[in-house]
Amino acid sequence: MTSSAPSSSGQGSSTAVRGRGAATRQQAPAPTRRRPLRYKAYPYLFMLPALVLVAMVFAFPIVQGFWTSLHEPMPRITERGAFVGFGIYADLLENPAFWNSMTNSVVFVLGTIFGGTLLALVFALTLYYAPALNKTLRALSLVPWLISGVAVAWIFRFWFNADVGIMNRITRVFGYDPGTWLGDPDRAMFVIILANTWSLLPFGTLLLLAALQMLDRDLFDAAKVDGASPWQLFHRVTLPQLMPHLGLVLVVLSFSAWNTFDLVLAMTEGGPRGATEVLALFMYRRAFRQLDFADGAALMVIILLINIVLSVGYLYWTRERN
Amino acid sequence: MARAEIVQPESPSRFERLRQWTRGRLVWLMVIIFVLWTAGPLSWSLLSSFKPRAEIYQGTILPQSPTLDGYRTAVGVDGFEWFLFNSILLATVSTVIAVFVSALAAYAVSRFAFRWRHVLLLFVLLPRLVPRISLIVPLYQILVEAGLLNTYLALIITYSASNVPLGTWILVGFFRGVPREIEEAAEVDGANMWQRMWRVVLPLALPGLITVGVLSFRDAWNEFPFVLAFTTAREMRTLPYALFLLDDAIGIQDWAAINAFALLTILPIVTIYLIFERRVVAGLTSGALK
Repeated sequence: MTSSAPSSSGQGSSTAVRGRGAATRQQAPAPTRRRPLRYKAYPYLFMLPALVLVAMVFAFPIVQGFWTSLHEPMPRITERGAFVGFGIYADLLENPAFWNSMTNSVVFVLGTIFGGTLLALVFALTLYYAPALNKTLRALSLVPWLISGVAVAWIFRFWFNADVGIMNRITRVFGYDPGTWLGDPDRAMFVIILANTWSLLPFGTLLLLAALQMLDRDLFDAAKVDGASPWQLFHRVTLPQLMPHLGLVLVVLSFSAWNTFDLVLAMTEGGPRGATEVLALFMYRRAFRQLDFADGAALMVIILLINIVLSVGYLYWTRERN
Repeated sequence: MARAEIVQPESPSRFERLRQWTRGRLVWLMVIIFVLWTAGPLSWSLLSSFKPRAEIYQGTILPQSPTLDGYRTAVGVDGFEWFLFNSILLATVSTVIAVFVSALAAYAVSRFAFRWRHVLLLFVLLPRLVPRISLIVPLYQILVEAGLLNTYLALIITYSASNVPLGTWILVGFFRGVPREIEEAAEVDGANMWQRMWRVVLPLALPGLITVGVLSFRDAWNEFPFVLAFTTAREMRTLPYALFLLDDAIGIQDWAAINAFALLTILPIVTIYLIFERRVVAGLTSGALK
């Protein structure tokens, strides 16, 4: 790469040479004259605002949070108690509420990604083969993704309300009243998974639709000539080509599901009796309701670690594809 | 079904027709399921937002005597103007900052070869992997120490910063797509770097800027954890926060008003999205597939 030679950084002198275009530039690293010093400073100046923002809002807080998690909590949240190493983590690992939230998160994530990936595939195929209105349908498909978690929570609370919700209305027509949804531990988990799937699904659908549109048409034609049935076409031709994208959707969905907070807080606040308290909610409760910022910071680190593991999976999938 | 037909090759045309017929129907069925899934929850809320309170408890689907009472109650919630003002202010300002900052960084990365370029780019992109919810604990401590709780500044900085990583990522792609020759031609004509960036590169990368703008606006408009954690004053709340606290604000559960409020918060972002739909879809997929 030309970037290895720092003197190739600037632009603008010897325009005659550079004017020949990008291809020339790639092979001819050195410009004929050295750039004035300020040209060298430009790229750094341009990057500075982004670097400062990221440092302030991401890097520094993460370091500070990690440091906090190594100390005893204090009544004043800006102070830190005695240094205890990983003692806070050790205590957390013995806290049943932590494991409860871990289990809930795993159920929540698995439910979201399996239902979500399957539905995303079905809907992507639907949009791909839709005989008409393709553009309208595609535009519609992304709408749930635009809606805030809080609004999604209200929409589904209404949908599953025991008195006025349409779910119970429909079942009552058949003579069965399921009663409360969000007041029942298992059903509440089902409803938050459903709502979360609804809100995250569009991204997966969109990705798979884009992937479908990039598929190799020749393979289809060849398989059709060989007399493949539609199911065989899908199973043997489409699906193998889609596999990497399905993996990507799984990872992206699980990434979002692990960090879902707004929707669950606004829907159940973690209830009934902690049945829907996912990891992010547990962190929020420990830090902001019970004012234990050491636990909160340790949970931040744990959430970050989970995300790093997922990202490695993401990178693995993208590597695999290229 | 299709398999069974293949075994009887004597009348292929009839079976071919039958297959076409079922397949055509099946696709339509799937389209209907898709529309129900996507628009169903929303339409139920929309219909109910026009119902008088009593009618919500009756079994009708369409509003029998449509009324705007729900919307009146929603808009009449104490402090609604503040919530709306805050949401618009924060979303607009942080979007402008995020687009500007991302564009600068992306321009540097895509147009200059400089030392540490890849490391710096990685530093800007990595926060994409950091969920915002995890940051509220340390950020809260920092903001308390800095005396910045309940300030627009804290929210604007955090909102803008959240959108810089994705914005930079998308824009690097777009800037690389702007041919260097055009810029060099402008330089020959005597344009300095700012002029080249403002008059040549940015207009050509406009689709990218719009994508980043819409994505940032959506993110800031819907943002909840930061405003929940970093504000306590009522007049600092945004629409999502007010929506979260809505049953406290209107007392008994007035579903028409709740649905009306929720839809009012959804409407602006859906409108913006529909205007720029194609760009956003292209930007999103390219951001994820790359």
